[in-house]
Amino acid sequence: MKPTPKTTSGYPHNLTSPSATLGEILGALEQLIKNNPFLARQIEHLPAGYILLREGKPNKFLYLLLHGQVQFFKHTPFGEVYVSSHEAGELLGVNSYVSHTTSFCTCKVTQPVRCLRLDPHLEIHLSEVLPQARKLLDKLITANLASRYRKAVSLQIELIEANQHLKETRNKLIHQEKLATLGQMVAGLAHELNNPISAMLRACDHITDTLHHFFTSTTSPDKWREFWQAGTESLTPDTPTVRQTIKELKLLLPHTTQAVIRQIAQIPSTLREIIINKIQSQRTISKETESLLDIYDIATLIHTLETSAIQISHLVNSLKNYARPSSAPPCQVNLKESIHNSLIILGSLLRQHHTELQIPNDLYVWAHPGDLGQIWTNLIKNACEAMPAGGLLKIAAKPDDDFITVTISDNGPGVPPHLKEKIFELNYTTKTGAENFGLGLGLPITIGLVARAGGKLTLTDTPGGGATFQVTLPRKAL
Amino acid sequence: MATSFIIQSMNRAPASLAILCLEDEREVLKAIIRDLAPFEEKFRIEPASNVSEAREILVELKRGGHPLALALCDHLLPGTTGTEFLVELNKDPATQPARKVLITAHAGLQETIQAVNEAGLNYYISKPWTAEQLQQVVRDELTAYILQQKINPIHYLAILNTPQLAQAIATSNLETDT
Repeated sequence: MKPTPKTTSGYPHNLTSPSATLGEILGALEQLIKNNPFLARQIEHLPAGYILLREGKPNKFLYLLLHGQVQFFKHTPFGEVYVSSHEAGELLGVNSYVSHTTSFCTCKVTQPVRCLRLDPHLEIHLSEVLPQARKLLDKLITANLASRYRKAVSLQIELIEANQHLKETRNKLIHQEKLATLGQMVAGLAHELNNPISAMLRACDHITDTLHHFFTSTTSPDKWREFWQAGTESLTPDTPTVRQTIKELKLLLPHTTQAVIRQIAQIPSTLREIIINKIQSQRTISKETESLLDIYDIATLIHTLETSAIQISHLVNSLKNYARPSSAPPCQVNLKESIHNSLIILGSLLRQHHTELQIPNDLYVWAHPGDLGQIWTNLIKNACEAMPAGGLLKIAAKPDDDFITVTISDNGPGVPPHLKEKIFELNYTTKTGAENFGLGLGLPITIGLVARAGGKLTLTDTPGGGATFQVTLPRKAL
Repeated sequence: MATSFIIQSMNRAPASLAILCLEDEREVLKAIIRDLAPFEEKFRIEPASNVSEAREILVELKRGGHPLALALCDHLLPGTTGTEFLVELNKDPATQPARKVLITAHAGLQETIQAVNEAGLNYYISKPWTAEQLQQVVRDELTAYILQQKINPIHYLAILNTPQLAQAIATSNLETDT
């Protein structure tokens, strides 16, 4: 900036131009004060702690702060709140002075102040005697008001932003709280379920032992043992096979009821021959034949009880791992097991899709087991929901020195380029239906969980169509 | 009308009506079939563990002249849903009159609405079921089918809802008399 040219009267001539800085205006004013005893008399020196304006009290003066610092405070329902602080060049009491009302805030001197005190009489006097000073003051007032207005507007924008941020944070917190509650419930339920399942499994074992003893004892007919043994070992044949067998049996045993024929069709062919021979030779179903079929049936039913109970206990174990509280410290988690648990939990969702897994057995990542489960569940669920008509879900893991990259790909419609960033934002959702509703929190939360584990989540396209999410996670503690 | 149907159906042996059960989990299917044993005497019970098998069975039934009286479907099936299959049945004039029941652990509101609106769903059983409940639903639905299709109820008096069927016989006899 060029040095300000001085006029003979001792102050710059272009101070009323828009380019004059606050420092230049103040310098000019100081010059006037120095040369003018009338103005000099209006100078006040105030110590730190002095209350210049008191909120709610009348004020008749306008103060121009020439040196020092003041702070504004305001009474609120939460007590006295700091509003702002002001330094040289600022005008104090503008509001009450201009509008003849009481002070809006309390103004406290925080660093010894030197200021020029103006009142209406002085203003009139200045206009007549020192028009230059009047002009400078007007300019200061205008600049002051303009900056106050700018501040008010930007404050309002800040407030809107803060509100928006608050809303997002609140939603996120509510969702996390919900998940945490759900996790606790699931963990509790899983523990509760373990008892009856254990009882069921033990009961199955006991029944099996007791019946085994009974059917294989020396006093039991030989065939009992054979049918019992076969029943405990053989698998249920598939429906087309059973249907074919039923057709054949109907021809061989025309007088046997449907229900019994169905029963005979279920048993292995060697035993079936025995039954067919018996019925054909005895021309009816004897008590003995009935018993043999019943024994086979009992064995398969117990087998069903046992496998179903085992299935439940696997599910319960997966839930327990999934719902492990994330307050627990991170640890080495077997990657395959963790993904497998999520797949078990999402079982019903996956039935419509083909799933391809390429995860080596002995890979470990360093994370909260619960977080990890939630990451997989969220991403797998997203992938499945991208393929409502069924599709191919691929999950693969590739290790390098420090990290493991897990890719979860679907062959759905993919994510259009303009949404690639948006889907990671809070509250953005494509699921607006009543049933398939989404809060738009899945991916942002997943990102948060991945970040907490020290990893990275990225989105790419699946070659040939669809979306691929890549999760990179550390192998060891960072 | 009523007179002619009674006479007609009385004169010929009834073609056995079929019950189709579609459930992909073998053990669960077996359990359903076991619970349906009381109906086996009068109805053809056809278990299927996937949709293509179910379609083959339907073709076979058509060829043998066995009308489908009841379809009992699980909702979640590999590659499709029971609801979609029921919608398919409802669009085919040959199977449209069949009573349709969903037996499921999973269907959501959306699927259930679709099942009611598009598949003409008659009943919804949520798993786990009990033998009594399943048998009652099947009995009610088969009774409704018999009455709706104006099939001679005599053959089913013992195993279906006797009072309803007996009343139908009485009413049609009255009509015959007048």
